[in-house]
Amino acid sequence: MFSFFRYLLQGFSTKSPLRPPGALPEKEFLKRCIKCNKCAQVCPYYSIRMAHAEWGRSMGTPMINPRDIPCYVCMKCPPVCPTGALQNNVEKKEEVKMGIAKINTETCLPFMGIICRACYENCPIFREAIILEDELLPKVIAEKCIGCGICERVCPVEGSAIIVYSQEEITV
Amino acid sequence: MTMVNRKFYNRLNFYRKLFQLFSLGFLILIPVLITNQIYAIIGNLYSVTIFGIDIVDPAMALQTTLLTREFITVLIAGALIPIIVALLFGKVFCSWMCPFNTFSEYWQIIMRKIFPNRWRLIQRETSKINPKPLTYWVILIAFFLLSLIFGFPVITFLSFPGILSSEISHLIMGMGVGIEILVVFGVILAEGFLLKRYWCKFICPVGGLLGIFRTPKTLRLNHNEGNCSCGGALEPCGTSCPLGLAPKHEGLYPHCFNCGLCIKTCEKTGFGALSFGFGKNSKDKKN
Repeated sequence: MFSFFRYLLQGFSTKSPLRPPGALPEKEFLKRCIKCNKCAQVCPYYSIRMAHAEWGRSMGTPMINPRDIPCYVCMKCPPVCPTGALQNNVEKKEEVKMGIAKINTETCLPFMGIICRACYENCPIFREAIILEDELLPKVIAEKCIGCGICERVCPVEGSAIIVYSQEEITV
Repeated sequence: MTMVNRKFYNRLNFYRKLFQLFSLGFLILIPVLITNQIYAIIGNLYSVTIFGIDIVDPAMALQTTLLTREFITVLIAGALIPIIVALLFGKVFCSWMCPFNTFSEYWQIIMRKIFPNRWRLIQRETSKINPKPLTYWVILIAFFLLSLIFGFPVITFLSFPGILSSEISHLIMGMGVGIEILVVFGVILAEGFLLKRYWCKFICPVGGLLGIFRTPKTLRLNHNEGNCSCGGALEPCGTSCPLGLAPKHEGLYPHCFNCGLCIKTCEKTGFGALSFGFGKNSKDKKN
């Protein structure tokens, strides 16, 4: 019977939003986050927004919409989290794992013969997370990508040809 | 003696109303400072950091501890300040700070003026008897059990001061307001039309948990039966209570949040039968 209710609760939210840097896995994160808003308040870029009621059980938790404002990995939010939902010891941007970017090769400009280096040049893990194959085609290195979403923001294609998927969406 | 008391309780209530406005202003001040790049005070009523000192809502601390089965020192230490305040003065957070109570209190006063007849009828029913404390505890424990069973923070969604304060911050920081604020204001409006305060009296887990922290020496309402003589079907102290409790009668705690309005009214009648005291007054037989 409880599993039925649990299913109902999960049914409210279909998508799993992108969490701020240092976030625990989604299930653990939801248990820990007390919705105190501090991470969103210290974010100098206003990247972190709080999910509202339309996000169901994620209501009040911090999330990032990278196409709007991506995370610039300034690492100011993990230390202020009082519960460790954002792991306080994450200090370097290389340790962050918010999600992984995926390139849609059907809309990505270099795959259609137009030179574009927007994501490659703006990646904070420069020349490691996004590399250029044959000096032309961008490729995401999954192990190095931190999922900040800057590439998704700067992509000139309408609707973005490179999209960051959160950890949950990758594993499902 | 009574004149001094009357002045004191009038002033106490004045300061309480001032503090309510101040704490609303405080909630507005936090995001305003942040938008001006001053990060001295961050957070909301779930948890606030003032110059590096964390203060955490005890209900949130307990819930997180139950869910994670882990002692998070910041949380436990942060919950100490509200707990100490509750041990000394009772649930003064509710009467002095909670924005939900502030809105609700003023809305109730307006509605009482609009429906005076219905208000009198309700008062006749409730002025002699207090709700049973057991109901309060059962509901509180049920919510904590629910969050344990689902592994999901139920209490957070029922903490109306937390939701209101975070929505104020969202609004000022330009993040938009969610429909959850409609639920909160819906409850305030509905309780106004019903002229009853069910949420604070029975449901609110924040006040409920603060209500646990009581000692025999906690600030409490004392009733001196010798002085009590205004009587009648409608007791002035009962009608003044923002929660619709019966201050003279048994079982006032854990519902009462020590706002002191009943004492102010009692002083106005000139009898001065009610007073605040740390611990039970020897003349007081009930409560």
